[in-house]
Amino acid sequence: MPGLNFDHIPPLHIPFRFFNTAPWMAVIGALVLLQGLSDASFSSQWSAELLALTHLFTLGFMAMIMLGALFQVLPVISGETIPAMLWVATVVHLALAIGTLLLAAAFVSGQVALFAYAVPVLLLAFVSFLLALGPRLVKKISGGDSINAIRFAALSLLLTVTLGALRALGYRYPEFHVEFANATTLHIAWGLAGWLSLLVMGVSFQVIPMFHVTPNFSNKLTKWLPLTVFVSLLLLSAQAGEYLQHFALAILCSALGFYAGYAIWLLGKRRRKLPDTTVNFWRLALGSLLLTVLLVVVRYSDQASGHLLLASSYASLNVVIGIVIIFGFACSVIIGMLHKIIPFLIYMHLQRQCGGNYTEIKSLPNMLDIIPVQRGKTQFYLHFGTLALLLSATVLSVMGAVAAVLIAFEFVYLGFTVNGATRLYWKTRHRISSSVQTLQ
Amino acid sequence: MVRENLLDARLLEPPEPFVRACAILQGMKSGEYLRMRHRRVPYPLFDFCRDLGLCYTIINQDDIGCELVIYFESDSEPLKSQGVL
Repeated sequence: MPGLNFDHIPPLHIPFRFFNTAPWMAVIGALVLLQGLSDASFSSQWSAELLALTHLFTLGFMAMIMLGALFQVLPVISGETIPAMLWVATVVHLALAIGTLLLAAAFVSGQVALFAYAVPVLLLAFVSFLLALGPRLVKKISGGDSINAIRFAALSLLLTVTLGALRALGYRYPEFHVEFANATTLHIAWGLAGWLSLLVMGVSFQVIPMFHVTPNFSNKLTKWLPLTVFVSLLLLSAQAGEYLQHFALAILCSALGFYAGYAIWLLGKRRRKLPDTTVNFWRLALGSLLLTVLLVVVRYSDQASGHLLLASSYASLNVVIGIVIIFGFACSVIIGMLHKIIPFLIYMHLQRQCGGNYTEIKSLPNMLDIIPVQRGKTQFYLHFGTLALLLSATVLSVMGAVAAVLIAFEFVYLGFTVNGATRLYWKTRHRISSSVQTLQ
Repeated sequence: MVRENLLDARLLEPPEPFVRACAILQGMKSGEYLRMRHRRVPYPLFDFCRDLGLCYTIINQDDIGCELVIYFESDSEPLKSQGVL
């Protein structure tokens, strides 16, 4: 596996502005859910408050961190600088935050005019991001199979955004509504099985062996798995007959299930089996991915067989699948990784600032001081509890309010963790600058 | 004879390899070198080496990891004659 190139590492404030914003978007999501909660909120994925919550999570929390992390990761694993990075990051960050809030407001208020504002702002965010990073991804660059997975993830993002924009504009301008079968299902599939899963795969190929001292992923797996996922999604989208669709879905589920199982097995091969919160988050995430695959197989096998034994439960089953993949898989990976990469990035930036001054290097905060271990543990228990409550809310509507309160609490806690680490960075950076000036 | 300091960092989590290597390099004198084994090329360490005026060379690299030596330029000839470089 290639080494990482830190010559092109961007300033810390670029990814950290995304990391510091994201938890508060999730808090807003929880408040929106709490405010609009009814007995029917968790009975269908189409309830307004659930649509708003979903997009505040997928765009405001997940995409916010994933795009911020890509501004950090891509130059490091590819050795390529992103031109005008500060400007691009500023536009992407602001447009994504504003666009997400507008979209959530459109869903909650039912004022379709708001979609006409939300969509262009969100398009500005994603198009700016893809235009800036796209050319670097097209070129032959280092980064191995991680880059291939990120390439497929970027293409999936493009398709997800296009389908989502068409759908949202269809609400505002029904006369121009482009009708094609399963547009929303494809939007969800490309977003969650494509953009999300492929990016997690690509990043995990690097970070699981690096941070958790495991053997490397198999070369064959890193080469073929992202391609398999992407091609199966293309086949699903082709709408070329029922059998081909079932075949594509079977391949997609097998690939994602195999990835999850393999990564769990790899984490079991850690060479230093020290307690680590991020490993717990990974296990919860990968277990949730396996559960998602299982639920999707059950749901669509029932439909395809014609038995329709679960037909009356499809709506709530869809909500359960959404909770497991978004909150159980995606949020677990993201929160777990934040607890690992934030201390690492802060330490690395401070260390670079110290140059060859070993006295300063020795005085840097330990990784475990940047985010204390206990905070990580508390975050994990909060997250696990919130996931359980969210799932229980699909059966007992009264649990919805408790789940919403716990989501808010969990992400306020995360927001303070990220903010605390950021403040420690600036304080230490200032101290090092003063010390270097004194020496001069 | 140039004396070897050995650091096997293959089982250490980031940034421990960097921290331990820095501690060794800081106290290293001419007539000594560091042989380091790592799972990947430790690029951030190279900045530190440059600041200390030390040379570095990757002597082995494969899919599993790499082995590098960090030394004083004045020791390069003896290290070549020892077969290290």
